[in-house]
Amino acid sequence: MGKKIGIDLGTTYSCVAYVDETGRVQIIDNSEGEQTTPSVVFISGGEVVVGSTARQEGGLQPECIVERVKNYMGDPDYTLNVDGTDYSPAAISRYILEKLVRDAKDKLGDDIDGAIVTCPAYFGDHARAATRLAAEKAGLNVLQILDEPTAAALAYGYSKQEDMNKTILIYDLGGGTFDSTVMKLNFVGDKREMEVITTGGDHLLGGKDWDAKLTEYITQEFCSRTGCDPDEMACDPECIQMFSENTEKTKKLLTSKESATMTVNYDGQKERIEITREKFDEITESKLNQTISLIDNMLNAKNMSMNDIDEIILVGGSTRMPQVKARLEAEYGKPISSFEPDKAVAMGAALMASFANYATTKTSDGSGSSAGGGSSELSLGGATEFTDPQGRDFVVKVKCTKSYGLIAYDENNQRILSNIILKDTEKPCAVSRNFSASVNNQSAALIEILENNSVEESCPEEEGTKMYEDSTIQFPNPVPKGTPLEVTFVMDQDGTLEVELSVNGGPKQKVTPVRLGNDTNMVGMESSLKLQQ
Amino acid sequence: MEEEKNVTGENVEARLLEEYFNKIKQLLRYTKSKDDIIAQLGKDLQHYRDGFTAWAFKPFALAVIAFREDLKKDLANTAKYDYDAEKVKKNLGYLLEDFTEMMLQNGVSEEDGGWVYNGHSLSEPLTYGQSEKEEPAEVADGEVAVTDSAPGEAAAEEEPAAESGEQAEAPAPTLEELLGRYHAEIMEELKNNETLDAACLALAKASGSIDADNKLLYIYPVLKKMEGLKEYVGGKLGSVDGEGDAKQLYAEILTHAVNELEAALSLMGCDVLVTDDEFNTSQHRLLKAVETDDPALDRKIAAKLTDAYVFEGKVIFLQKTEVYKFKK
Repeated sequence: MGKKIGIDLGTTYSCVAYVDETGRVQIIDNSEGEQTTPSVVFISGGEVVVGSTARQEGGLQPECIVERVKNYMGDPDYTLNVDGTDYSPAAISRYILEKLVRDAKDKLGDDIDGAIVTCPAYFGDHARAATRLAAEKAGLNVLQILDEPTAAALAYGYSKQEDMNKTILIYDLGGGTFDSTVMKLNFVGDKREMEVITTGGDHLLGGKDWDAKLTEYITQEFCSRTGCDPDEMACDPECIQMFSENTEKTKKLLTSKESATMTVNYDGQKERIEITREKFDEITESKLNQTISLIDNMLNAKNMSMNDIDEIILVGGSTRMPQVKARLEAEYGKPISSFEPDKAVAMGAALMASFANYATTKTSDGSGSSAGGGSSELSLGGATEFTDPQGRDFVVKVKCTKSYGLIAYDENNQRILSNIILKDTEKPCAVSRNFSASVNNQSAALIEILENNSVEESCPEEEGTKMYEDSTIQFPNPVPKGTPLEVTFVMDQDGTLEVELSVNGGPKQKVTPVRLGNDTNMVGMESSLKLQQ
Repeated sequence: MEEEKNVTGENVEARLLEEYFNKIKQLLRYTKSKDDIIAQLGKDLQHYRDGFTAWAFKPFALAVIAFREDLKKDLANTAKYDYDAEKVKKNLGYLLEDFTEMMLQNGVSEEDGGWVYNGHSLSEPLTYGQSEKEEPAEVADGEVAVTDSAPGEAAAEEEPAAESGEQAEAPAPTLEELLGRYHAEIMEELKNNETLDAACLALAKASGSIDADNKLLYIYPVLKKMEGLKEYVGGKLGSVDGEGDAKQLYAEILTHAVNELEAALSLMGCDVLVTDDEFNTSQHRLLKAVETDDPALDRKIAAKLTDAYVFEGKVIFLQKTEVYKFKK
């Protein structure tokens, strides 16, 4: 019997973990001996390279390199052309996953029986379906697509022995993304329940923004002393490389020291530029403020405040900067702890993969999940509990991360988006809402479903994104205007949506909307590229 | 003179540690503190398995490489730019500051005029275990002087230890003896779970102390060479104004420093790699693509901006290059 693994498929870096025979979570090194793999893909001449080597190859052929593709996962309108071929983000992610899996197999010396792949909490069902497809095409038996903050909370809960009943805020600041999540933890004896309350964040904000600010400051200081041109420096390849190598190092030094020095050597000039931690905090304050605003917005949208939060948990490598903890303490006055900043997500996924009981994952044709899946209805995994070797039962309540509604007409006959399932509703769920026929002799209802972030029952159509193909439900008979129509959205634990409609209290008719983007997800998926060693 | 880079009995140590770990693993019941200790033991064991020198000294090697490459760049600049005495003094001052900072970040500090590495003064002779008494060999400047004395004790006055194992004046145990003693004690104590925490802590402490001694033994000749380099540069800094052409003097100093740093790296087992002339991602890091109309030049190296370095059989520093790219 092979191993089960957890994969943190990150925007900038990915990480793989498993649970060893003693019940301890271990990170698996890649073939380069590193614990994280850059999520970078280079495609040229029928071959694919993934990771740090891809970056090197991409220097000569920038048109052949792809980075940060996770930002577009599941987007039905997005493909990219690399080396003359179109690829979807899912098709690119497949190659990243292939490399991660291959390296894991080599290191473990064993087959991979199943995997959990994580995704950001803000991912809607389309992005999750695309992630699952990528993993299946990479040859994985996908047990589940798990939220990153849930995975981190699982790892956190696994590490704790004591009972607790608290609401925590997970502050996850990575290299390229920021996620905040409110979770409720209820640990009593061997029962460990975890519930996602709400999520927020910015998937374009991360540690790289702090690096950019530091580079800007050092460059300005150097140029003011030497008379060099900062714009020329910004374009000089050696300078770019020097800052790339030294900025991260300087930032890390400032984690443990009050000041750090960077030596800049450019155009025959050499200067040692000192920066204090105080100065670094000052020049990056605006970035930190952004994270505070995002947290406040997330809480306000849920009619919550920091008074409802008992503790803040820091996850993500960029939370190592002292300014993060200091600012959160000053802003919110709550206890703050840091937990495995770089590894928590992969660790939590590995725990769930190892200990949860999974039935064979179903696809729409009822067959078991295997490599080569790709049906239009993808099960999104649904185990929400496991028992660890110590006999502790972990239960995770899964919530909708988006709101789902349909287009209706208001009293002024204007199109509006009427939400039926609101964000943060626990899955599985069945939610009904009453409408009425809009014209006389109406014989059918057009079901136009939009996904959105609103928490209101109604909102402008523009706030929604079309993620499903339109479908039509025929009435048994034509009905007069004003006839009651009850629409029910049924979402299972896996995230599959069904729509039911009852005319004037009559029998329900069902339709399963087809996700948009399924075809897009498949673009480039069947290309027969060889993954280089 | 025989110079040992690795500790005697390294294989024994790894084997014994693995046995401890497997036994402890089987007998322990889960608690967080034991979990942390096992985690630390596991990490220590893995480090030994993967290659002691690699994990212990790769960061230091990388720091010295970066420093050397920066000095090489300065040396190349002396051919392109003007340098007066003031500029030379400023740059040499920066060199010394960068040097000191680099050493400090890698565990070497200056105290009372001498260098200290992880608590060990480099001005004192090295000692590490003993099974037989040896006459101290004559040592050349910068090389390890391994004596059979504990730090601070005189080298010549002990009597040879008898082969029956009788020990005079409690000499420091060898690595093998130490591990054997701990092995026996721990196997006995493991039967009693109440003392397990103490046993694990003792083993962790012993492995940590052995670890520190190993590192010092290995790095000692390198640090002595670095110490010599700093003295050289510091001495030359004082003579910049008086010794004729400042630029030429600066170039000489840099040349000496670059060569000494290469020698120091070589002592660590880190060597400059002779690289190919065609772009190879296992040897080269691309900084700039240079467009060319000549297809024969496609992917050929246009300029080598730094060296590449190999450590423990792996390339740890890719050569920064400019590479020709054929413009189709």
